[in-house]
Amino acid sequence: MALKSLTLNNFTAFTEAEFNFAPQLNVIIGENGAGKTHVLKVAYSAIYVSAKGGKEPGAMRPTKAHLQTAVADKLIAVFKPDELGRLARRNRPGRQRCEVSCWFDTPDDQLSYTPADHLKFSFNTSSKSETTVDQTPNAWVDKLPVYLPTRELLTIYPGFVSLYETTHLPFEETWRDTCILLGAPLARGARAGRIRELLQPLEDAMGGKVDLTDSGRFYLDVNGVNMEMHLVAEGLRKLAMIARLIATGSLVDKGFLFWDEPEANLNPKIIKLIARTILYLCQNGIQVFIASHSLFLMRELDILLQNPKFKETEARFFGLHREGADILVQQGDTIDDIGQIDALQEELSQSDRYLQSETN
Amino acid sequence: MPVITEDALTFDFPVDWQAEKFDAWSFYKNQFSRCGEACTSCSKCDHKNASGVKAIDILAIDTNSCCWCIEIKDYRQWQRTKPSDLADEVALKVRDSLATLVAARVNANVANEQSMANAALRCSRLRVVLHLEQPAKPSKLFPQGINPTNVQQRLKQLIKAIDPHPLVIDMKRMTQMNSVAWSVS
Repeated sequence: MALKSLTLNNFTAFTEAEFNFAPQLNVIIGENGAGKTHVLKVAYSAIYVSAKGGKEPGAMRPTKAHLQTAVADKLIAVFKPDELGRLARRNRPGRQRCEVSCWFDTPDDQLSYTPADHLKFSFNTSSKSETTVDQTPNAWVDKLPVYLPTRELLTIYPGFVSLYETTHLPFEETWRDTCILLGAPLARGARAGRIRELLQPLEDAMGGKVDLTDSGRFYLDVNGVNMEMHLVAEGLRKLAMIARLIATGSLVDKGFLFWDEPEANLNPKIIKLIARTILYLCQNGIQVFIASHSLFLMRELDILLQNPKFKETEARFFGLHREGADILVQQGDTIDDIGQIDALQEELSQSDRYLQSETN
Repeated sequence: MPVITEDALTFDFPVDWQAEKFDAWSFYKNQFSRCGEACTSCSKCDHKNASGVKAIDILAIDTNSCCWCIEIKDYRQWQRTKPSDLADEVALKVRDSLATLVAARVNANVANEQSMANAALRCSRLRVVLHLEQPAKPSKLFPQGINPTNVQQRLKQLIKAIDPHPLVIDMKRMTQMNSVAWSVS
């Protein structure tokens, strides 16, 4: 099952926006404050809620009553607004309604009698903590999505989840969700071969294997010697996080990966590897959503998508552009279809300044 | 073998190609450029500006029915265009040149210009090339004062409808990549 499309009406910075996603790679590009992370988070929250209920003991089909509270709770936990209504766009006086719709594509071999599952919810600017579910999906999403924030989480992992559950911590719930997935046991069985294949280049780059000890701490096992994650370079810890999620099966076979600025804290050599890993994950049935500023990462993905090995990858690119107080979304199958790329324009402007400095 | 010299650069095209200095065409200079005197007014200040018509430097037609629009920017000599405006300027020149060709096919007074316009418009492919010679003084942080990949990517965004794979090359890159059939010295 993949997220086919998302429509936002009066949600945070978006007055009206529609995102038609590819089943494999989705790249969202835009300057700071254009709403990239909001798109990732709202899609993540919707998928999480649509999957989590199915994992509860004795879960039946999704119900409106369950989702009304679950969606609101998740949005509040992920976005951390003072109250839910703060997520509804206020572009004129008076109460305004915010609507979010997600369409899930159901593969033909499963539930072929349902053309697509649809979750639609709404709330208004004065909502405290409850949404109205206008459309209930026919079935649960089968796998919890993975959200990778801009920083790595392995070093904060020990005790983080229990602390999060017992104390009021001002961290977004995505951190807790991902920590739970990082702590899952290693996957075994038929998937082991595929997992090994995906892990090998990451372990080569890290120079070791990720190990979770009984004390609940992550180490990098370098030829049998454990190195504390705190002593490993920050960039390599991000690789280690991906490696662990592959090893536990969260990013194998099927699933969703939301990755906010994969390039943060990484040097170009590792970004190159990250780009390749992203496409390998896509090939392995993961629907990937990334938000990025990095021209280097975008170009690396663009180059790989021309490579015969990845040429068949279905990809969509989204450009978020400020138009006055509004955000305009331009989307297409290639990076050339999404309007001006700010990172590119800034590089060109830097050339202007460099040439100017040379002539002074 | 058609040979075209533009300031300090000499372009040698294969013997069976047609190639001409397009912005020197009589039809462009004396007839079509007048279209550029048309005024556009800004809605805010009502100030009128001539829209202007510009043309690419070289028009070439190869033996495989491909029409090449070549623009030359030699930053060793001149730095008139800011790098951030470069792709936009080329895109406008290509657009105007294609419009010039359409009119030249039916209205050019010089027979050679009319027949080349006719041949260009019968081609089955259009290619756009920016020949960009880098500023003479590179630095450690800016081994190329103008990153050709940046210009190429911006150009690709602008003229995808004309040529989805425009090239930005210089003498060094064209030899390494062997991307075009002509040589430049």
